[in-house]
Amino acid sequence: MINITRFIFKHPKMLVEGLQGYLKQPLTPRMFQIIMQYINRTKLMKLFPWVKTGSYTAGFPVEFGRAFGLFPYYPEAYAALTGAAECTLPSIEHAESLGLSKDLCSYMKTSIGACRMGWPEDFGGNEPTDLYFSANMVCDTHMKWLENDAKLFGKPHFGLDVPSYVAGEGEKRLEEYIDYVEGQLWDLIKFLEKHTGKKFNEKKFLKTIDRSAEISRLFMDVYDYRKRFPANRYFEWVRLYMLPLVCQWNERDALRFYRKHLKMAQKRYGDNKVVESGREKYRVAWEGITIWYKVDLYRKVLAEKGARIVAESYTESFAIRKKPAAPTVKETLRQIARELMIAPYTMNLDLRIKHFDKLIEDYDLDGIIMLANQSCRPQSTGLQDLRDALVEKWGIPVLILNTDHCDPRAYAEGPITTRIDGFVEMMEAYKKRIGRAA
Amino acid sequence: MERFAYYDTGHEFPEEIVMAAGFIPYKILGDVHELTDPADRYVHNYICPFSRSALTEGMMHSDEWAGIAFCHGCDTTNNQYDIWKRHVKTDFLYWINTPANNNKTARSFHVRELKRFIDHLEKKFNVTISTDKLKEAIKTSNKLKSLMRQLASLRSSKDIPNPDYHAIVRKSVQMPKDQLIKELESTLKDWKKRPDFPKDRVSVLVTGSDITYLEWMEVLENAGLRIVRDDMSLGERYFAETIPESGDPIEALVDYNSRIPQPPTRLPFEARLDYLFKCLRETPVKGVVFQNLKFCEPHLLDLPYMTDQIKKAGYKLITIEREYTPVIDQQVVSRLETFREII
Repeated sequence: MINITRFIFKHPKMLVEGLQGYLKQPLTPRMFQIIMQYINRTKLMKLFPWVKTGSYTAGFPVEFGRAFGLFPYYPEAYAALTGAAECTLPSIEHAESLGLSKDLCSYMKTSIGACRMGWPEDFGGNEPTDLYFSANMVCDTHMKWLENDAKLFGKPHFGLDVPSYVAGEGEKRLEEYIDYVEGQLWDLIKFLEKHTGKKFNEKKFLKTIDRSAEISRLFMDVYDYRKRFPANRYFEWVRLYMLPLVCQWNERDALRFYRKHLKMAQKRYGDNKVVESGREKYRVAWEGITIWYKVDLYRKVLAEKGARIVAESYTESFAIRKKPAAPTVKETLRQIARELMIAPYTMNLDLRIKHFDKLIEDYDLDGIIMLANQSCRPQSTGLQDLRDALVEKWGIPVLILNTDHCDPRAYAEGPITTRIDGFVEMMEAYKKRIGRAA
Repeated sequence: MERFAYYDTGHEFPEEIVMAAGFIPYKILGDVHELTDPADRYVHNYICPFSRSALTEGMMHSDEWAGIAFCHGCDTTNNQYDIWKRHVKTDFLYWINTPANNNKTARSFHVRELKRFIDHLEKKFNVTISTDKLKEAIKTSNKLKSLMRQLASLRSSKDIPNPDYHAIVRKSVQMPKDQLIKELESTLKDWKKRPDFPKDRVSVLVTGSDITYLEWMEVLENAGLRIVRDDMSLGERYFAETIPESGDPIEALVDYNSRIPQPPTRLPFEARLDYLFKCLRETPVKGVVFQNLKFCEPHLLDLPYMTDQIKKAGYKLITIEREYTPVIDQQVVSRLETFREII
């Protein structure tokens, strides 16, 4: 509280800009409350010396720490929310002044810059935690970001090394990789026992996995209503709606939240997740991280042309826990290992193409926008081949858009709008070609 | 003997296995003089230019190689494997998932990965990679590494221009090993006779991205900086350690891999810094050059912490972000000259 008060006193303009940024988002009061609840709890937990805290990169299996009572901090989530508030630039520039290249991940720079300036979590910062956890299945940046932070603050770090399940490999190789990841997950349990001084509680861990799987299922059940016409929700909403799923600081609240939304959808649409009248003019899928600081791209530029984002692998990737806990811890660890390697965001090119083949059919897509993300090279690699494969098979229009997810300096309004105009024309021609009524 | 190409971002590839299979290991280093247009068709221009050059080399020259193997390294290497699979014509493209961690769990996985690689090579090329052949290859490798260490150590006492050192490290990962050993022995005789370290040159340690082309060595030379130690995979990382010659050869290769100076893609972070400081303690240098290739993320991520530690230890340091080009950029030369004046 002292930190945020000091921040507001020093940066009143930033507070106004942040609030204006949030006001542009399609946030319900309950969603705003949830965001603030998480951020406030992260601040509160630091005041309780008996609560241990851990910083995590996205996708790291947080349930292990939860089973040991660790409160999870997500520097990436704070950076994303700062992006939505359109306040990332000062912290990115500060990080660059510390020697981080302009080409590096803008999530990381938002977080590091804000931390070093002593900014609160509301504006991307976060104070040191007791433990640090990172994994490399998404990128090296994740691994090195928290490894560096741990080193800087003199805290223990656990790095989970997830093999790359490359194209052309089969189930046998995947099983070998699962053996390796399972071995490391046992190491993770030992690491947590050592640093928390607690014994591993199998029952609590399996229960946490069950809840996590239930949260993922509920999220995807609501998500699936986007297959129907018109979709119940669009990307600009889902990217904020996914916060409880990503951070899982309170599984019970998250379960209540998603159950309520599923009930609302069921009440409104019944079981019909497929077809109804009133189709969007253009149904579009988005590949890549959302452009956090430019909600207008979705709500105005695209929406005013009738193009709406009805599916995106980014949000779906966080619904990673596909199955409840298996009867034994060993089997559950193997399940987790498998899920880490084949989430939409970590898929190899062959699987990524198949994933999009399915999306095109399930979501009745008219076009796909792929973000060639200037500071997320792993996600940008393979886009051209993905595009070529989809265009060849389906003839579907694909727009590869060059910009950045959290760095507004990379967004060129004019050229992007012009390219979207062309893309919309292509979608119109595509619809005529395949005989789909507007 | 046919060449077997490999692509790794550190020094992860087990050359000795393909030597035991009867091939000449050949590290893909791209060609800075060739345009990367073929690769740019599939890879964005804000992704590592060296990787695009390597992909171009693969697309143009894969018919000269018996097969190609990748090792898990940086994000770029890992993610581009799938692109190579689609666009590089070869009968054998293999992925070795070298672990990023360096602990018991990782080492046991690494043993399994290498055994699997051997199994695939044996089946594909109808060869037997016996323990004896592996041990023989390890001996050859050790002989080569020993010669390289002797040559590299002369840099601080003799007049060995940077391009001369670069030429031998490049050859060490591309030439047939037996032929190379003979050449290194003769080079060693020659280097020992060279004049003493020139007074107009300033000794530096170079770290950061691998320098894969001669021209950047000339940039340093033109600025009056002489590399006497380095922390690069195309450099000391390749020959700093010896592979154990007793016991199981696969275990020996894994043990060796865990002891070599670590690249930035590996954990834990300290290993890299420890080696750097070991070099600085062993060989007095006037300054440290931390050079990074544009878009080389692992090195760029390490940069603030590493530079901070090096400066705290009292060393003079310059950081340079370089383009992938054979052009001797006079602006960079000028910055390096200024650095030389300062130190």
